[in-house]
Amino acid sequence: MKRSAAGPIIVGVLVTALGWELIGRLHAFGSAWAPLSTVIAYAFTPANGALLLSAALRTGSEALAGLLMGSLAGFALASCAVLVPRLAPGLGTFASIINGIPIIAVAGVCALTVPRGGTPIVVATLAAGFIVFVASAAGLASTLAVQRDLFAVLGASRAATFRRLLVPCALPAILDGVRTAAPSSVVGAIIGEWFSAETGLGPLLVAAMQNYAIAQLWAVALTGALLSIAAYTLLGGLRAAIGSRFG
Amino acid sequence: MRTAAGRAAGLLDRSWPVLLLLAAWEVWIVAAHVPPIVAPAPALVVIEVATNPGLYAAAACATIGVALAGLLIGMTLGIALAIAIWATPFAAGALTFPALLAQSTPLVALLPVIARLLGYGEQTVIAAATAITFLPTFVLVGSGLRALPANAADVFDVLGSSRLARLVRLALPAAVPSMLIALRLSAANSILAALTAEYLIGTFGLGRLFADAQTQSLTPRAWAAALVATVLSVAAYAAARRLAVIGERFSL
Repeated sequence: MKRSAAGPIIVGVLVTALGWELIGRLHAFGSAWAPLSTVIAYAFTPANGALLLSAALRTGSEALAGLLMGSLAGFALASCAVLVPRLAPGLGTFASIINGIPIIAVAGVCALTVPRGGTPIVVATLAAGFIVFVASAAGLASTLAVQRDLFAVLGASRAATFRRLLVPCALPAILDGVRTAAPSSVVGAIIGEWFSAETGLGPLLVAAMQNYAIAQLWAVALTGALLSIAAYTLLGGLRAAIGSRFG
Repeated sequence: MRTAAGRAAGLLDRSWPVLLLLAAWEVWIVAAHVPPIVAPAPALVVIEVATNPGLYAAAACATIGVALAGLLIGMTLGIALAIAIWATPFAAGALTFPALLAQSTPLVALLPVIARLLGYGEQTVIAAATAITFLPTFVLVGSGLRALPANAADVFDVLGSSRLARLVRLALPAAVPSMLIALRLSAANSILAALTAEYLIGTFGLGRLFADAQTQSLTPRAWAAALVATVLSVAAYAAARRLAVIGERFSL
């Protein structure tokens, strides 16, 4: 099963790379589209490679911190909604308001109020939190009536039902949420850096845009994308391992 | 009378976070002695909107227009491509990587490229909202078309139905809930993507209003533009959610 699934994915990678290269070479989308070979040549120049790597590590650690805090906050909010049903409609409103505040406004306010270097983590936390909240709420609501009845008949307390039934049942959905939130936390960290930081992928993007350094622009965007894909794939492995236990 | 009280309690259950956030904002301004140039009090922002209703209404309409256009185009493209690769697992596998790559690439990084291609105008803003809408629709509808009710595929086999009949009468109805989830995820995000694109490209709408206010240090105006955008995006989410509740009546 796994072997047959890998074939189409490899074809997809090759076609994407070829398409990227051809569009750039033929100037199909204008001169702002750098061919893949140019981007790779840029990234593999030792000085540029070291710059991209250190920026990626910086952005990656901010995104990871944001993903962790956002996941905890999202799960905690969804748990409150389950444990105190009266709060549920309001917490949904709260989450949609937090999600609805434009990032450009959040980043601007954070740059003035949060200690230096904190903005990317705050923005990444907000970006990840809403997704994990929605996924956790759906997961915690996914138990069967039969299961809940059994716990009720056995006289389980609300806390015990939550810990021994709801959370184990919700775990795959929560991990799906964390996995989906990973790319968002990377994008959030980059946008946060855009407004405040001096190092990381965000400032490199701004510099590339201002200097019209097309190869650098694409190399930084690709580095950010690869960072997201790495996180998404790693979390997919974790999800599969836990899914086989709880799924 | 009792129903009125009950309705008021229901409204409070739903909207207490609004009051809480406004109170927290006011307390922060007063307690931390935040100067108005850094952040205005809630009342200042409300007065700003109330004294220039035309300005904010025009900007909001412009942003809603491009966001809605992007939402429609993105969902149409996403559904069309999901149908195009329906029942061809190879295409679905081959598109995994490009889809993931597109989703992971920060949109802000590609805006300059899109702007070079489509020009520094509303087309680029619509493209940004389209891009943010397309992927969730494509991924969710793609899996929705395959999440058929148990044994339904067997019934269509036994009745010898054509592939088209199978798509129109089985797969598409089965994918309606996924389309509604995609709409719920994308409605608020299309407003926010349009706003970000307007801000970075500087066309018009709430994003442009925010950018101009920021460069002129008109803090209440910048906050008012952000507040109007927040209200729009929460309203879009609520509207999409309402539609999903109505849609669930038709689900299998």
